[in-house]
Amino acid sequence: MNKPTSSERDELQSLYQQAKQKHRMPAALKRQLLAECEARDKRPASWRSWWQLSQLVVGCAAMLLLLSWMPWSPTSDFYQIEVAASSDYRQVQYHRLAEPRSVLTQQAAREDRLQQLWQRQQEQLQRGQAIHTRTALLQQHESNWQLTMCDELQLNLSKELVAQLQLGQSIQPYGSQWVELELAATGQVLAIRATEQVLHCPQNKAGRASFGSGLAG
Amino acid sequence: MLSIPLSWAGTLCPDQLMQHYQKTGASKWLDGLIQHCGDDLYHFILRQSDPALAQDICQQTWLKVMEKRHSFRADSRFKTWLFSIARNALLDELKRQQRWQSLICPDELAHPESQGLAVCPVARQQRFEQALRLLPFLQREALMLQLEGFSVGQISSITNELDETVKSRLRYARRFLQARLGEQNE
Repeated sequence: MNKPTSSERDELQSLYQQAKQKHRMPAALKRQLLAECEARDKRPASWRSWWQLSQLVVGCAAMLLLLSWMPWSPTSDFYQIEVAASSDYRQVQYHRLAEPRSVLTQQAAREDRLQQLWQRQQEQLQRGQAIHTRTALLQQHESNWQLTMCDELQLNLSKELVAQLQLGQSIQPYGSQWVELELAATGQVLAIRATEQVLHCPQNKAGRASFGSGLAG
Repeated sequence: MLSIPLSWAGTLCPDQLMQHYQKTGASKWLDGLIQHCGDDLYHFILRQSDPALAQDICQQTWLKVMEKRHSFRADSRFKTWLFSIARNALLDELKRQQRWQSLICPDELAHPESQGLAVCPVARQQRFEQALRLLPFLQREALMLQLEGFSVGQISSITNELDETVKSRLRYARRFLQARLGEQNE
């Protein structure tokens, strides 16, 4: 048989469409299907949506757990260094520890958390970055410590930070003394040890003498 | 997407409606799909069965569309998918009712005598419908799918047959109809 001509196709198409007009889908069936669809749409939880919801919940819980135990990076704001201008020093820095991001409300739990964060950060700093030492003069003002390196740099450490630092036993609880600082490349203080070394400063702009002259030993 | 008003749904083609329905599951998109394809599907199944079975198969088919909307592939044509589901459901039901063997017969069995008579439009319509009923199941199926606008490739996909098989069925079906309706159709 040859391919159907266009007139034959049109004829059959026309007859077919007319035949279809007489046999439409029953309206009751349409209504029934739409009602079923609406019911499914409103149904709060099919097994699929429960599964998706449970996946979401598990995912969020895992993420929270991961975040809560993730080591703080050295650039995180846990160990904060604020820089201030000063006429006496080229730079003045204030070092302090931020409150741990935690929902823990009990003091003991908060301190434990702080300790964990500190240790992780220290491990990271000591493992991943170059550490250098510097000699400084330590002066204690109540619970805050001040470390000065001639007129170049003054570091002010908060009491929370001092409490966490590795302090040599020879550090005196009061007065002034020469110490050796262990510093990370990004400036965080890692340890403070007493030293016999004295820092000889050049004459500063105010004409003050070097530190060495003002201290015994 | 969710904010598309219902009136817009009427302007979308079935494939676009299905994409919306697949994403949202909202009944307005299914409503649009039923408006577009519901009558075509019902008529296709009805011609291959009876009103009670056609309703049952259509219901099963649309319920499967609801259940399996996530398995619809966006690159396929919705109407082809819909008719495939319906056709499989119909064959399963016919086999279950042991009506399948009696409905199929070799393609070459459809050899009507030529009518060759000029008839009025109403009579022609009746003759067409009668001829359609007389066609063997597989030939009728192929022809109706083609008259529904499916290509040979799409009919092959719906019926799980080779293109050549589909073409052969179409050829026999058209020859049969041509003979029943008379030579004046040429």
